[in-house]
Amino acid sequence: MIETREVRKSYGTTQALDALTLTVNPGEVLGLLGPNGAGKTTTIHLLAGFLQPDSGSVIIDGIDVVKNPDGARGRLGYIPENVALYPFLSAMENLQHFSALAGLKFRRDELAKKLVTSGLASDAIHRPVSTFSKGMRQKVGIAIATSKEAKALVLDEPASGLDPHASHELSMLVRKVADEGAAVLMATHDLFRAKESCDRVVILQDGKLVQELDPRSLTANDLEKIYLKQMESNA
Amino acid sequence: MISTFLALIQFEYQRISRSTMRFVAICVFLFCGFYAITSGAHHVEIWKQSLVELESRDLEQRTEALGWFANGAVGPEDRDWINITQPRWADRYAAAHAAMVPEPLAALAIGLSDIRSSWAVVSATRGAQPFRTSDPSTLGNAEKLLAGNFDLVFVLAYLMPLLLLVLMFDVGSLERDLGMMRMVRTQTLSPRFWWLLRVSMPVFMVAALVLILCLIGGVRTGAIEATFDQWLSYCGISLGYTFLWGLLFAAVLSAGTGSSTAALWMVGLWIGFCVIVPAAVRQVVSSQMPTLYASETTSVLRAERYEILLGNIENYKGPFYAARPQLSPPVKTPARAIVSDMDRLVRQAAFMSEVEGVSQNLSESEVSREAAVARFGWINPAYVYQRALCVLSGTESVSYRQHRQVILDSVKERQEALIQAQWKMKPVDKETFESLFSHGPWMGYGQAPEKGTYSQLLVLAAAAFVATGAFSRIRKSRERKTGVV
Amino acid sequence: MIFRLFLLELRSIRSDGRLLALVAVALSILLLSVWIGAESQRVVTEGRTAAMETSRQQWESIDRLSAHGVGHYGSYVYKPNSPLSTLDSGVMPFTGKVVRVEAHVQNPPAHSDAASWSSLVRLGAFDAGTILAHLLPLILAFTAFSSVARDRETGLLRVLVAQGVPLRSVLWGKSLAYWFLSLLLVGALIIAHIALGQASGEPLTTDIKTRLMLFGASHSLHLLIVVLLSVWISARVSDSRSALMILMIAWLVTTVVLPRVTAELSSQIFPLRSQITFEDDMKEDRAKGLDGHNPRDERRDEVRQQVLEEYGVEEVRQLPVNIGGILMQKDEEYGNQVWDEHFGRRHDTVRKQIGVVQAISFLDPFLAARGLSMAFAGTDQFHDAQFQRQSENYRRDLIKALNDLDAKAGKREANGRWRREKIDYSEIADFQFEPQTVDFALKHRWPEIAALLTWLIASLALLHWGTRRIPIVGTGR
Repeated sequence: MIETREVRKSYGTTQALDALTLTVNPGEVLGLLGPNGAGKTTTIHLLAGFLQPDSGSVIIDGIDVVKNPDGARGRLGYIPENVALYPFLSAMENLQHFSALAGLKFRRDELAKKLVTSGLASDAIHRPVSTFSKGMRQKVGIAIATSKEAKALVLDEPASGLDPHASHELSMLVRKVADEGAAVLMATHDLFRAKESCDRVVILQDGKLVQELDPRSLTANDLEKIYLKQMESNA
Repeated sequence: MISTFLALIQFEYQRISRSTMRFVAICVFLFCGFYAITSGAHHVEIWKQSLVELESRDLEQRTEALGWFANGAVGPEDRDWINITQPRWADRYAAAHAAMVPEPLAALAIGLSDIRSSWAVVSATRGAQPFRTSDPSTLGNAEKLLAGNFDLVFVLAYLMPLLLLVLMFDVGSLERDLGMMRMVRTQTLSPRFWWLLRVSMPVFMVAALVLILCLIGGVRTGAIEATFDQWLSYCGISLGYTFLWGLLFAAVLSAGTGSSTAALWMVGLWIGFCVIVPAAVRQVVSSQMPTLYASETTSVLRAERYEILLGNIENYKGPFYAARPQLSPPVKTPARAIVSDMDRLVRQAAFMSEVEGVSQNLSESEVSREAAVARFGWINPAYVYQRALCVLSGTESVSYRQHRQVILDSVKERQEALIQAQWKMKPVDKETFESLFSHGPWMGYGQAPEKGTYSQLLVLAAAAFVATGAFSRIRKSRERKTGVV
Repeated sequence: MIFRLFLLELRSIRSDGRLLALVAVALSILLLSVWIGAESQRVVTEGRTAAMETSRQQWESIDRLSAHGVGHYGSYVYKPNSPLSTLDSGVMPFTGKVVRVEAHVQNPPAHSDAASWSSLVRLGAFDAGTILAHLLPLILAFTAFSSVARDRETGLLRVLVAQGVPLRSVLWGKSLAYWFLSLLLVGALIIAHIALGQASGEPLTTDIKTRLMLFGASHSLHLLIVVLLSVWISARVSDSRSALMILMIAWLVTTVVLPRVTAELSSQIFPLRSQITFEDDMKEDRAKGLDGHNPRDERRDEVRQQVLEEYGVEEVRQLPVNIGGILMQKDEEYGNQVWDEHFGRRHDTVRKQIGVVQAISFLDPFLAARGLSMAFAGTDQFHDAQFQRQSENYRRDLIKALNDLDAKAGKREANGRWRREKIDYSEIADFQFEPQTVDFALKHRWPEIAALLTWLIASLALLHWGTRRIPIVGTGR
């Protein structure tokens, strides 16, 4: 489970998050929508323990991230907007290395399968990632995060730069991870993908949670309209 | 933890083997090490060859003189005023030198052995003075000395930190440059353990390379067999120096900057500790305690010597006999030639005590200059390390001071032997002549480094350790505040 | 366009605190070295004056010695510091600075600084020459390594090229910006040196001005080469980390490893005979000459016969001169030939060793810059050998004057004995060193000048024509 309670965070005089309270249950995918600067990335960084909140608490699978960041990270998978990998290693070697760091050991065929499941073409598995496009790196990043089989998965604009097909595959993968029992929080601008893969979406603006929606009861166009209306009303 | 450890070993192997530059850097380092060992061994060979030449020259002259004894002659046929049964001529023909023999480790730390002379004439009558050894630098190519020597100490003191820099500068900072630090942190069981392992692996790898070079050097020079304890100290100090640099660079990395900033800081540390600090310390100390033009020495060698030679002999007889209670002035006035020889030795003895004084002053000024340099020891690790190994190898200034003392003692011993022979007022026989051959010990001067060496290096290591902790804390707090990793 | 890019790069450098800090550190070190050097120069000059005064007093207080006895008493020659040795001390710390001048013996200079120092003397000198030739290239490499690579990584290079800016203009603009920084440092150094010299009342002769100008020019050229190559490597190599490593290894090889290896190599190709063999050979050759102190020497008899014939007398006691002085002088002259022969050979070997280094400077511009730096500062081996030569000439003149006095200052008494006159030795002047002009430096260091120019032309050509294979787009992350 992913949980934030009354979390506040400011950068100097700028209030990035204002009493944010969120809960993502196991098996659930929560979409975090919002314009640039709404506080989506700050929320994710707080969840991963990269940032310390000014007040409030952040909990991953029952572990307080502030008190025990290493323990919390052990239960968390993370996919950044731009996945960076060791350029001198192949996709397989990157996955193998990061899995080993997480204390996981996979056979080569298992690693290959995970990469393919993440959408990477099988002929790219052994190529150095320095030759990869952004989308290909993103897929390796997804493989790394999901291979950890974490209780919680946070994704920061994961579909950014992916082609529609890869983006769809990502949605499916996220859904699968959630179905296997993980709590997934995904910050995104892509309303269509949010509708496709999320159980709930929340709209964040100026660090505050302004609206919560059930995407399954809406069409993508409805979702877009609500979102834009929300932005206009707060502008 | 074990899986992280194994994963990082594999990762380090991949990181280095797939980077041509890093691979080249390791090869260059090893090549330099091998070359330095060979070059040092070549230097020591020449040194040994000089000593062989010296010995054969002495032997030739002494054999000639012993031949005269065997033939019942007292000197060469064409110079009938030479009489080796007279102490002053016996001194001249009983050719002997005091020599510094290279320690096996000298090939790995040649120190000052190409600047200072390792031998001096032992004679009581030929103006032998401990500080009047020939100056090899003046007779040779000074531009070669300026370029510097290429021994293993140079490779380890200078080049090893650079290799460490090449292997370490992007540890953690590469992840920052590429923006993957967040992913590393979420993937790793313990980011701190990950960082410690990443930082220590290049250090251990370089330490292994250093050990390999020390081992090869020890085998090539015979130091392992001949002076195992000293070789072991050489290795130990070198490893300590490697870890010190590892700590210094770890302090830089703990600040959590990008790789170019880390490299800049590391190279700044290297320039500071290996180039600027030693040179600046030398410049500052030499302006405080200049060597100037040795006028105190030259005055003794010329004016005071002449004053003694031309002065009233009675002024010198009192102190002469007072210092040698076993001797007394001859009861009957001997022959004029013998009186002249006795007076000459009395004057020579007076001059020798002046020489002793000058030698003492020179040593004291050297020691005080070195004490002034040592005050900066904790910020001068390259020099402290180099000095420790040179002391161990018997090629540092302290070795030459001891050598100078041995020369002085040998000359004094020779002088006293001549005085004894002269005061017997009998011709020098073959046995007495042969006893003059003892020319002082031919020995090496390797010894344990001064105690301050370790404490100076430890102070810097402690400072680096504290800095690592402090930088790490500052970085963490900054990251948690700003989110910028 | 190049000027605009040059200004842009300067602004970029100005905005990078690290680079500004590096330049500030370099400037401070340079100025500090000039100040400490000037202070040391003052102390050394005072020390030399005091030593010369002491020596002179001792000389003038001689009253009981014959002219030949004074020859044995001898004199001392003290090496003066070159006025520009504060900028580059060159070989001076390693060579003797006091020569004992006496009859029969040609002593080499003794009492070098290095002989009374610990191994600290091996760790470089804190002078402008070292900083400019050794450290500044490293600092420049560290400032320039990311100059183009950074723009490529941020995508700026693509924008510039897409705007129609030729790649070589980009490289030129960046190179000129970094060279401009170097020129500022060299200029500040020279101004500081002149200002300190003027403050301490040192004359600024035309020769010194020319030397200063050439000193600055040679370092500036070397730094330009370093900048051009650093910028080109930054452009040619796909990422800034590789560029940094290449530049660092290049710096290490050219300034640290190659100079030492070259020096070793030169002494192995042209080895000097061991000091013992050298001294033995000289002694042996010397023994073949006259033995001024050996009355049984046949050669001495020959000379005596010649002198008797010259003066048209039959016996020494009839000569109007003291034959002892003439014999001593003949012995000296023979000794001088031996000295010239042996030291000449030794100097030739050293010259050949330096020739090897000069040849290798075509592979390593640092060697050329270092050689020129020392030469223009008047502190290289060639300048030092001049001191040795001049002090030996002084010795010859002094001993000849003393031998002439020994031969002529006196009169033959009726009983045939030579009666010496009392001689005023204070009339004999001290050694005066004649400094070499800059032509001397240029004459001996033309290979380094040629090497530096060759490197410059090659670097310019590389920048001008070597842009074809420069990647505009990075390999990506």
